[in-house]
Amino acid sequence: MRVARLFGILQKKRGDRRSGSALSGFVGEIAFFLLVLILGMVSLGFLLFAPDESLGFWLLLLVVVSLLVIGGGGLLLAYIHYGISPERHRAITQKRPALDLLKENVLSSDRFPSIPSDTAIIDSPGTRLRYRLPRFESAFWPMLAASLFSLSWLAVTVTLLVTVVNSVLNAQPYWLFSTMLLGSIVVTNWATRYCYRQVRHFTRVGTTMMEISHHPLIPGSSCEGFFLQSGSMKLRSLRISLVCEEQATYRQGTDLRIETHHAFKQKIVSLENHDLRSDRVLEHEFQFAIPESVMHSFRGEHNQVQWKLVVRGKPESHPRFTRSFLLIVHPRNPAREAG
Amino acid sequence: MDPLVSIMLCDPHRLYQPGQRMRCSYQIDAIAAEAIQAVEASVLWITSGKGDEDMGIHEFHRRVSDDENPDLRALHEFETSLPNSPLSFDGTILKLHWLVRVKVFQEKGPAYTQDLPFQLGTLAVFMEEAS
Repeated sequence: MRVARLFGILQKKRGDRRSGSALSGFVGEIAFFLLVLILGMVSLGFLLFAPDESLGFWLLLLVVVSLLVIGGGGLLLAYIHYGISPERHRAITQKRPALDLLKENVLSSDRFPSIPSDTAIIDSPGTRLRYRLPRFESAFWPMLAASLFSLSWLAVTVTLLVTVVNSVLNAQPYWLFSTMLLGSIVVTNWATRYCYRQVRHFTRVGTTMMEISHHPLIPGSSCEGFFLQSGSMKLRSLRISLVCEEQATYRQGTDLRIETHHAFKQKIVSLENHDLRSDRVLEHEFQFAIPESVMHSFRGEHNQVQWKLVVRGKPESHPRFTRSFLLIVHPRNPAREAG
Repeated sequence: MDPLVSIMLCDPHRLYQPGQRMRCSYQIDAIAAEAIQAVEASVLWITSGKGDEDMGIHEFHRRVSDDENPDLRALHEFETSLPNSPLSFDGTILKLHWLVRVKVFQEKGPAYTQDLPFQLGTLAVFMEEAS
C-alpha cells in the first residue's frame, strides 16, 4: 500500500492515491454510513409513532427512506470493498466475453477483449467501399449548446430590460438592474455572434464521409479509402492524416483531466483549392497502411489507444474544421498466422 | 516478516503470444501454514502512466485454508490460454503490463502481494523485474 508521507492540504490528490491507511478510511466510511442509518431508523420511529402534523407525511417518508437506503447501501458497499481484494472484485464484476461457440454473432470485442466494439462500422455499409466509418464528434451538439446558451442570455436580457424600462417609467430606476442589463447585453452580443458562427459553420461545411475497404485492420496491412466532402465554400486546403493517439484520463481531486499524446501521425492526403457547391462535392480515393509493430486499438476505463483518420479543412472565409473517424486496429497474431 | 512467494512460468523468457497456453506454478515459504487464511492467484493486466490505473483479470483462483487444503504453502500449478488482446505495450503516457499476481492473506497483518511480469505479444515493452 502506498501512502503519501507529505502532502499539501490545499493540493488535490491524483486518482486513488491515499494520504491515510485503508483501515482508517474503512472505519471512517463505516462510521459515517452507520450514523446515517441510525438517523434514518430514529426518524422512522418518530414518523410512525409520534408523527408531526405540521410537516407532510409523504415528504418525511421520502427523507427517511433516503436516509435508510444511503446508510444501508453505503454500509454494504463499504464492507464489500474492504472485505475482498481488488482482483477478486474485478473478477466478479468484469464483463465476461461470450464463450458460447454456438452463438451466431460473436462480437469481435468478445474475441478481442479491451478492443472497442466495431458494431458501428459493420452495421454501416459504404456507397463506394465496403464500410463507412463513424464520426468521432458531431458539430450538431456544439451548435445546440451555443444556441441554448445564447437563447438563455437573451431571455435574461429581455427580462432585465422590461424590469429596467418599467422602473424608469415609474420614476424609480433600479441602478443595480441597469448595471446588470449592460453586462447582460455584452454577454448576449458575444453569445449570439458565437451561435451564428456555429450555425454558419454547421450549414456551410456540410457532410464529411469516409469509407474504407477492409475491417478490422491489422499492423502491416494496407487499405483503400474514399473521402467525400459536401458543403458550400471555397476550400483553401484539406489534409487527411492517419493518427494513433494515446489518451489518459485521470482525476485530480474533483477535476477530471484528459491528456493525449500522438504516438503516430502520417499525412496521407493533401488537397489544395477546391470550390464546393451544392451540385459539386469533393471526392477523393486514397490508400493508407498501418505500420508494423504498432499498438492495436485499446479501450480501458481510464486509458485508451485510438486509431483514426483525421480530416482538417481550411476554408477561405470560414474557421478551420476538423473531423475524425474511428478505425479499429486488431493485434497481429504470429502464432495464428504461422498455423 | 513477509512470507516468501516464488512464482514460476513455463517459459523462462516470459514471452508469450496471444492464444498460447501458459503454465504457472507458485509456492509459499517463510510462513506457518496456519498463519495463511487464503491465497489468490491471478493472471491480469494493469496500466500505468499518466492516467488512473485500469485492470483486467484474465484468470482468477482463490484457495482458502480448510480441511481439503490445510497447507496452502505447497507448490500449486495452474494453466491458462492467454487472450488475443490487449498486448503488452510501452507507450509514452500509457503502459500496459501483463503479470501473474499471487496474494497471500495472513491471519494477522496485511495481505502480501508478489507479482511476476511477462510479455504478451511482440511489441516493444518495458519489462520490470518482479517486485
